[in-house]
Amino acid sequence: MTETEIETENKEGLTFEQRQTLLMMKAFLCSETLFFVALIVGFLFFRSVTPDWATAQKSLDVKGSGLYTVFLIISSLTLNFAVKFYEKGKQAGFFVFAFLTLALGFAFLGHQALEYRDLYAEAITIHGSIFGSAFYTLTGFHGLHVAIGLLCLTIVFTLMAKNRLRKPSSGARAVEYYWHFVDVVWIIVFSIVYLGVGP
Amino acid sequence: MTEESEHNHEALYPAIPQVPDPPSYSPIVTGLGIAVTAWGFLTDVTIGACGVFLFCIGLSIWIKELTSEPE
Repeated sequence: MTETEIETENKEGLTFEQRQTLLMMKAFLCSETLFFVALIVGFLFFRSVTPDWATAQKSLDVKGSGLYTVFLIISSLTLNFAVKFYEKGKQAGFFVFAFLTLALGFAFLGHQALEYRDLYAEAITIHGSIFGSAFYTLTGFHGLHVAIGLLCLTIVFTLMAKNRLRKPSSGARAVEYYWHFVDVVWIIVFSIVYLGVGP
Repeated sequence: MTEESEHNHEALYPAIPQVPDPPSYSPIVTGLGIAVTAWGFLTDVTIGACGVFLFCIGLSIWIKELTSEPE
């Protein structure tokens, strides 16, 4: 490492360019926040004006989704550990936590797919009612974010396993930010959609 | 400013390089790919395939940038 590179790194070992990347990731997540706020406001509005909402909401699997919400929260922790282990050069720990992160993420997505199948079997469809439209739009867009996050995590973990990423890597950190964001959004969505929190 | 505080200042605010990296096309190509894929999902398979193609290009640019970060 040259003297110039040492000067441009901060305490965490991130270079100026890497911090720029992470700043842009934060800006992107701000725009994503506005996107989800719009969806949530729409959901709350339709809930407040639809009389038979409570009846339709009873079809949701609150306990099952609650369990997979815990899975998603744990996956954020395991991802944090996986990145930390990689940065410290501890490959065994990295492999364990990377595998756990992906397993928990895919389990969450799988549960969502099964839940959709069960709801469709009960004739709750995206075209059938306002509840269906609002529910599938909000949870579906979140599911899309989880799917993209899992794809990015798989790519980043594969590169980490081959030791092809810098330590620390801005890509790994950026994907970590994204995953934490998806996690926090789901906690809010779950509270509103499944637990009925809000006006 | 004393020598010690100058040193702390440098640690907190490291020197910024004169020439930053060129901008990346990865985010816009990936985002366009997702949007076009969704468009194709609702309309036509060919448009969807174009979207997937753009998405893959965006990802490949991103992967190339990830692996070329200086040590």
